[in-house]
Amino acid sequence: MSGGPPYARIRRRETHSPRSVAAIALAIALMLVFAWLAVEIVLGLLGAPPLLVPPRAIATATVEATSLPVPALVAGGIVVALVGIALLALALAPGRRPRHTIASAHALVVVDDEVVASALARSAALTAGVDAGQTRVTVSRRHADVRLTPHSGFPVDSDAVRDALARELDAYGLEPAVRARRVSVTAEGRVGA
Amino acid sequence: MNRTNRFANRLLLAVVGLVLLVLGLGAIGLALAGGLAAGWDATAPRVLARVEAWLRASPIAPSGPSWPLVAAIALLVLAIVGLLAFALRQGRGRTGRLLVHDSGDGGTTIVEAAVAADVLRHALAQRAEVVSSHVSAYTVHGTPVLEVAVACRRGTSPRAMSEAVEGSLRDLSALVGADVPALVRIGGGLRTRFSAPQRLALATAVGAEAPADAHPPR
Repeated sequence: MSGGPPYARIRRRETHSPRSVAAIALAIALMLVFAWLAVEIVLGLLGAPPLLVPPRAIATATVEATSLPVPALVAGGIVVALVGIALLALALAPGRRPRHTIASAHALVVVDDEVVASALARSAALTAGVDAGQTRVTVSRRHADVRLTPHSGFPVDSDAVRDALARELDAYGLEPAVRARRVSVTAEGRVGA
Repeated sequence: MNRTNRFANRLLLAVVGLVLLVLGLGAIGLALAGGLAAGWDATAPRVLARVEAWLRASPIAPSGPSWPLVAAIALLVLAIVGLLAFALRQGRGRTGRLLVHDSGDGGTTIVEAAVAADVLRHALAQRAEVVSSHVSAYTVHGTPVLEVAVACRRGTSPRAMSEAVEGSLRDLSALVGADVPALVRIGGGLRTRFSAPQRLALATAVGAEAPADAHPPR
């Protein structure tokens, strides 16, 4: 064991998508296409009837591509180019996962944003005196927003809720830091609960 | 935390994406740019004719198949094998050994990862806010690292959960006599969604004891 634990590497890997699903799906698709091409070539060499299209027909069709109707060629080209752009986007985008890390002396702690949101929802519900099911919390990379449905006739102090959220978030010490942003209280309360 | 080659994943996506993008733009160009189409009509048939002549001129044996075609088949098969290996190499990196301590005078102590898993799972199962936990060990750059995945009940403070797991990790360190680097992953997951909300320690009072039936004030 040289140096400390490789926490920087693990942190990066935990907070970014490995793109495994996309890469494996693409690899399977490529394998199918390659296998089909290989089989067609073998069938062509043996003089057997092709599975779908003989290789020679593919080649001549490519050569005569300009004789295809313009709308079909354009539409096909757009579809293929869009798939290409989507794959490039998957390759180049950071692919951040909805997770935060918590500073810790003994370990690297990674928390799903979902957990942070439900903890904040509970704290907001406690402060506002409503049921946990009456709060909706959204946690993004740097902000947390709350939507509260109060009990009909019981006003909610949204500043107190915001303060409670700020205290909670302070205690969590998330990295990157999350700030309590919007606390919105729906105009129509809930009757009976 | 496995040993998936993420760069390879992105490289494959980028290369295939680029090829498809160029093909698509090429097709659009052939359809819309007259000059490009004229150039294509002038060169493509000649190229095809030359390739066909070359294939006819290079048989493996007299009147046998042409070797470029056989080579193409071999290349395709190689590519398939390569892709298969690539797909199967995702994941991995798990290790069964958490610590190997060589005292230098003929004795070696090995702590299996299963020991840590048992200790931690048992400790975490005592806590009401934990729905389930999963412990495994991986080698990252030659260092064994514990991975502790905890699914907690809705509403559990992540800080309180993290401190609880860290406490268990400290106990484990004391037990095995060495500091074990660890990744703690606190998640929700499907089982959490159907579990009862957590009603134990108040989220605002980290580590404080609260009555087990503390209801939110109405």
